[in-house]
Amino acid sequence: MILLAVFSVLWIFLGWYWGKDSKDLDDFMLGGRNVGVAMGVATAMATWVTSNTTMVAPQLAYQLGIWGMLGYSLGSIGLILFAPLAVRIKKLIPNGHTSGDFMRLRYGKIAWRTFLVISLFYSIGWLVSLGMAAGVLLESLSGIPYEIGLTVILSVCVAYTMLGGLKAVIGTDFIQTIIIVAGVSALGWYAIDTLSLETVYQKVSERNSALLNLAMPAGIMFLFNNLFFGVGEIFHSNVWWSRSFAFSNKTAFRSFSLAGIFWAPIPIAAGFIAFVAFPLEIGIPQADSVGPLVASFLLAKTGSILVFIIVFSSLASSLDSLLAATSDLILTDIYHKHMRPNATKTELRKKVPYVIIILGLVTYALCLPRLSNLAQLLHFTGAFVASTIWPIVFGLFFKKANPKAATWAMILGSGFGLLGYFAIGFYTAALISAAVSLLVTLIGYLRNKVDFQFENLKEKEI
Amino acid sequence: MQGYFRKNLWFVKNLRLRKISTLLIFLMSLKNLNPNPLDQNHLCGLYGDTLLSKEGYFTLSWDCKINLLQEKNNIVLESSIDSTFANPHAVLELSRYVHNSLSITGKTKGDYYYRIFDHSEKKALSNIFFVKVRPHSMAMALGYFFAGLFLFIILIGIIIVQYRKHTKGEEPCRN
Repeated sequence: MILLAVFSVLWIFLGWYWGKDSKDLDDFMLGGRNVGVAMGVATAMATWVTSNTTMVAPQLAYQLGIWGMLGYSLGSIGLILFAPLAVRIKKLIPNGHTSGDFMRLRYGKIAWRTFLVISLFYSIGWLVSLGMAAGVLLESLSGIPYEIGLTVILSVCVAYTMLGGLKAVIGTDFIQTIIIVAGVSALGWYAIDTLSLETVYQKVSERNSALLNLAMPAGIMFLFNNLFFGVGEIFHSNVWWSRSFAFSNKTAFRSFSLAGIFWAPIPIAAGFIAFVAFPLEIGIPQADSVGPLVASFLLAKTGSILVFIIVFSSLASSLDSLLAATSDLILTDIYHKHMRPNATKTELRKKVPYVIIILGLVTYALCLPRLSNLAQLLHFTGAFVASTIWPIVFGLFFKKANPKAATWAMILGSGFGLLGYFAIGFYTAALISAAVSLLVTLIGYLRNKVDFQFENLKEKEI
Repeated sequence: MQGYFRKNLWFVKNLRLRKISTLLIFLMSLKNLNPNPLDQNHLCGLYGDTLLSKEGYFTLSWDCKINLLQEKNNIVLESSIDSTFANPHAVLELSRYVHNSLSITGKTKGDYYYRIFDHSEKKALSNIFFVKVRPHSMAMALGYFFAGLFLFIILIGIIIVQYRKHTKGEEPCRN
């Protein structure tokens, strides 16, 4: 309880401190468009280390073995590949604010609205899963009731995002990155030090040998599926586009590529913890709780505190980024472009806190009933986000990328991805979606006779 | 479903929204159907989240009529590869376990039987829960793997070639 209070006060104070000079809309939404490398790397890393990394990476190692652990770390490829895209984005749309701006200007209204539905569905799904994880974790580690834990963490994140905007998000992300990397490394090191690799290998191979089998079919299928899920999440989400706009011209490439390289070992370290459950003979009630349970068992009270700090940091670093980026998308693409096209920058700046509060309240309302199957909703989104990869890549680089095909690529990709999710398993949804989306995008590209002028992306400032 | 709805989605007043929410929850719950509720002939009901696992993992859950597990020692969750439990393996000592579910993982192809067994009184306290593990075929897995690899190569190829083409002659942005 004391720890929760200390961190809550710290994040809110830092949010206020870093955001007190953000009077302008660009300052608030995009950190003044001049974020440096160190902060850039830290914010990209911290945002990508979500509660999913600290909880789902061990879960996937526990369920899909070596491939689960390695497959999760392939999420770093999305960050690395986004580095050249970020440079291109900054060059083509210097005055852009959101990923929606690109879809609207490049492909027109139908593709843009289809994209907005996908993006908002994904963002809300991610926000809800983070909010729920906050409540569940606080309850399991400290006994604080779910509703209180959820309320406190969500309120803290809403408060400092509202006070400081992207500057506060990036600043707190920097501190949170240091905490997460140090914490996960310490936990991994302690696990290896306490039980030798040999002991772990022996115990896992005794009764859970499939986990060490490199020919495990579901694991093999999961590998590239997770890669495309991660690529889809990053390529389409305004969380990453807003960072592209926020980073200075010289830092975008380095920030994303370094963040990807530094991020890759984190799921492996977190995932390894799951294997320790076997030699320690810890009963795991639900696969997603394996990480926190092993840590608490290994380090007793210290472990619980360490896990609490790591997870609180990873939750906060993603929740704030997502709140900021989604509120930008709602403000710019829905409120401004659909409802108030003549709104000035000053007017929009005044609306930002309201949008963040409303988004926080919606998330809270969806988290409160504690629908256990909302975690599955996040896996669901793999089918949707992977369908956006090719329309974005083709749209950024090729003049002949086709608007109609972009829309159909997203619709059919999502549809077939969902079919794979139900008919085969969650570990195929993103891959099927990406394959169908590529086919449609490619057909549209080959049939298109009209060249798009990239100059049209340089929209006037609001 | 209605009970669950009343308990958790009471705040959804709009009828159409209610129907959509109910349908969504139903679809999401399909994979978690409880195939074997509390058995009337035993003190405990043992069930799982699936009868057929293609991944080698599944979750077992149990409900007992009385607070049996905390009151007695030597109550064990056992597994066996035959229904007679000729050569059982103790998976977990339940009297020291506070949860009522267990995630089982890393199982190779085969049939697995589970039961809750009281070693003090030498009798089974639950029904036998049976789960088949039948992994996807290797051909299917490799098909997905190479399809993924192919898409990945195309993605990397397009990004690298196009990035270099569009930044040619410009000052490198990475400096």
